[in-house]
Amino acid sequence: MPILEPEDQPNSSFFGDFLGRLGRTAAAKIGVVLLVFIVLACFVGPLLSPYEKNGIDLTNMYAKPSADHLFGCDAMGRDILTRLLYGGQYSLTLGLTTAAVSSLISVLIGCIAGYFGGVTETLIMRFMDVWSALPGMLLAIMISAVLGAGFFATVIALTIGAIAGGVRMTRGQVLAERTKEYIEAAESINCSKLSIMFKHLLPNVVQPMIIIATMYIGATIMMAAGLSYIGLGIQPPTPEWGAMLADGRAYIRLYPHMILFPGIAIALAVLAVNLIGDGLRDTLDPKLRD
Amino acid sequence: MPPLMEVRDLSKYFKVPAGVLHAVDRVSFTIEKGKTLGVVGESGCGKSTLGRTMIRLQEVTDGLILLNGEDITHVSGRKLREVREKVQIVFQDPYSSLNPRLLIEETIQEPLRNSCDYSRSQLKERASALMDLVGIDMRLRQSYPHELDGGRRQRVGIARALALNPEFIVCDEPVSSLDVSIQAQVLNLLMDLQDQMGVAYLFVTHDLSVVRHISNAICVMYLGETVEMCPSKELFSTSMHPYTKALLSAIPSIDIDEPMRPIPLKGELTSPINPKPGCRFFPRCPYAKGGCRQPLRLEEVSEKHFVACHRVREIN
Amino acid sequence: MPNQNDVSLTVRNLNVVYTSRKKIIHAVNGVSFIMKKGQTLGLVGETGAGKTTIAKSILRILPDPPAKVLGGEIMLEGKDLMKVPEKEMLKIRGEKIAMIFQDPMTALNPLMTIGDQIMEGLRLHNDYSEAEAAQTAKELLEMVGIHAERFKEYPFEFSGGMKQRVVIAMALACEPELLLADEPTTALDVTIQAQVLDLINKLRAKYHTSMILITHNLGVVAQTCDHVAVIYAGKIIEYGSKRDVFLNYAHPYTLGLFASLPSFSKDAPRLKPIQGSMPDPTRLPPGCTFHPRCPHVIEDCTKSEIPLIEVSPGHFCRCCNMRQEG
Repeated sequence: MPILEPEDQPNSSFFGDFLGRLGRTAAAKIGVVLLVFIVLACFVGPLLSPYEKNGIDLTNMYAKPSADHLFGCDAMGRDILTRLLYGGQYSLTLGLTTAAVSSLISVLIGCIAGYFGGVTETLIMRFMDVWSALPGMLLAIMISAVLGAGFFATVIALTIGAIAGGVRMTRGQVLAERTKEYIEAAESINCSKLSIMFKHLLPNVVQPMIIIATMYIGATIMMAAGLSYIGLGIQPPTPEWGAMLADGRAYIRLYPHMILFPGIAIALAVLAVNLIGDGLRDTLDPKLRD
Repeated sequence: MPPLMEVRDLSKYFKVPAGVLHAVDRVSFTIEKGKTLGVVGESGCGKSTLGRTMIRLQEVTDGLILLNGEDITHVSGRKLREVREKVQIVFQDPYSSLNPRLLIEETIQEPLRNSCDYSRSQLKERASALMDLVGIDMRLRQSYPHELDGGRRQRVGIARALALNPEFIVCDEPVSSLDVSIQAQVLNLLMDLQDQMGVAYLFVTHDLSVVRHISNAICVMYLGETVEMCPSKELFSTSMHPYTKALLSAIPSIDIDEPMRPIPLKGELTSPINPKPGCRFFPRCPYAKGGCRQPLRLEEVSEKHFVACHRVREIN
Repeated sequence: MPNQNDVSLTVRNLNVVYTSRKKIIHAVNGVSFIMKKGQTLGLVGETGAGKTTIAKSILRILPDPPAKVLGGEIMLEGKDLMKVPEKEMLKIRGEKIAMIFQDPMTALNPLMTIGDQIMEGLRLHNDYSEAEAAQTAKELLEMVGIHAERFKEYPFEFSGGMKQRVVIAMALACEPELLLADEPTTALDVTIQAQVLDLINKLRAKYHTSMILITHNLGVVAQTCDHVAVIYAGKIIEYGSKRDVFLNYAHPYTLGLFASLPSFSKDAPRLKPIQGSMPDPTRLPPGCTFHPRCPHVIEDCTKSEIPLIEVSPGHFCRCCNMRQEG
């Protein structure tokens, strides 16, 4: 047997690859830093605040930003900065949970549809077609109205809206991947259909879904804000960015700080998450890869 | 003693919008234990489909496949799993035939995992032994496919195919994607393994020089049908079918004093969809005559030399 | 010293690297050669040897980044192509130097008729009216063996071999002095390959075009080229006439290439492959890049750069331990 000369090469696992990608583009790096900052602020910040989440202080109603209250106070004298940070906990958790759950469900259904084909595929895809005929926000509103308000109901409402798009995309990826020879090879070595789907197909089609999921976090935060704005979703007195926006709606001329800061918070969170998604997507482009 | 592998009138058709695509049409041959049958032809001749159908990766449309005399054409379930352990395949493209997310060690262990309950250490040991057998260096065993070059990846594919100690392996253009110097390494490996383990091959390729080296007998295919089949050496010394002659004449020789004189073929490859009866090479054959449109069968023109041509005796 | 009027292209000391993620891939490391008018040079080597990079450097179509030309001159008609402004290169590409690529399936724009694609080149480089260009395009199609009526068809209606003929017609449309053919028949079936090679030879003879043919197939080189340069790890390790390289090869790599070919006549039980594999282009071995795989390696091989040595008039080899065949 000929002796082969191996090179010392670093291993590159799924996560190692993923993290490496994050570090590669400027966009992703900025996004990560920003997101980490926001997460820390929202989860650690409230511990440092002298104010309470719902600390009503009628002497400070509508107070403008000052040394005491950096972002001012709302209609009930509650410190906006503190409420913003607490609210961030809800918004971020909502975004992450929804994105994670909906991606998981989409990828599973998409894989089943793409791999099994035939009648199964047709049934699933036509169902998804009907599903996606309804605009996401409208669907979320309908479901919220049925399930009522609150954190979990909102998660369910927002998850359901996201599934159809994810299924279509995953199925497309599966169709492309399914014809590759390693899938045929897996069949030839007696892998069960389930094993082929989970061990071979799924890990290789999931990457674009991760990007979409990351971007969806931003969309979820906005939709949750929208739901709260119209009185569904998370209910007062729980601080939530959208609800805070709604509260300040009437006073936009007199006390713009009530709308400004929640608005900026939403914008920054969505920006951070989109930058990360952008960066990941750029590194998936094979031409930009080395 | 029945031959290891036998196919009788094996056909594989696909339904396409334009009609029925005859990918493989009434192919018959036998392969003895430890021997190699080379299958050559150009694109669209059906050689890859033939290989995949023989090991049941594609369903058979018509005809029989016999493994050690036993009919495996339509077996399923447990029986199919048993059959799969005896017949394996090595794929052409070293870049897409390995799961990019699995370590090569895991890829090789997978057939073992599927067949028996081996312990972790047993799996590791078996995989190690296989990698030794195909010549993959110790240091590379915990690599991902993208970290290896084509030649090494192909060795991994071969190790995977050998994991269950098969009796028969379909080699689907295993060296076509490799560089010339690596081709020779992998071909030698395949031949060494055949000697050591007594495994038989169906060696599918478009490269006539490679097939001569590794095969005992060669089958030439055109548009899904066998046009000529004979022992390897005879194909090159006394080919009889006009297509085989044209194919051989078209190979650019490295003999610089012998300019090549390719036999010109009229027109282009005809469509395998709803083919007309009779010889499929008729539209392009330099010896074509009216009578060639009659239905055609492979005849034994001389000992072990089969040709499907109405005018074979006149031409030679 | 060749007469300057005879020479169509001179490449001197070309050096190209690809930068990626802080690694540097040394693709072309000091390649020099001269092309005479009407000559065919075969650039032979395996994947990653740098042959395509050389061709793309001549046309300056390397993507920058990640490719970077570190140095070298490419002289065409007294001008250094590395230094001329892009506007001038536009006139040279297609008109003076044309290129045919490997994959005929992706070489043509699927949304344009082939007639339009041939005319595009014609009208860019000449002052043809639409009618004149159409007429010329139809003549070109007939010349490569395609019926002129197929002028209005789209690429998907053609087979691989026919697409490659169209590509050849496009390349020769403006009668370039130099044709770069990058593995033009590798993706084609053997019988179609024979037809396309025959076509290339006939057209070259007709237009007296020089040609650089890149391939890994020694048979193709034997049938179409008069000179051969064997490339290994970005360097020319052997150069000479076809006779020199095929019959009197001097470099151990060339020897290894020929020895590892399965042949029709020899009946050896095993092939003789070259041990090991191509070196990592980010970490080339010192001295002779082939030395880790060479059966005749001696200490001098690892020390310093080996220069090209003239083995016989016009036959060069980059080896310090050549076996002199009797």
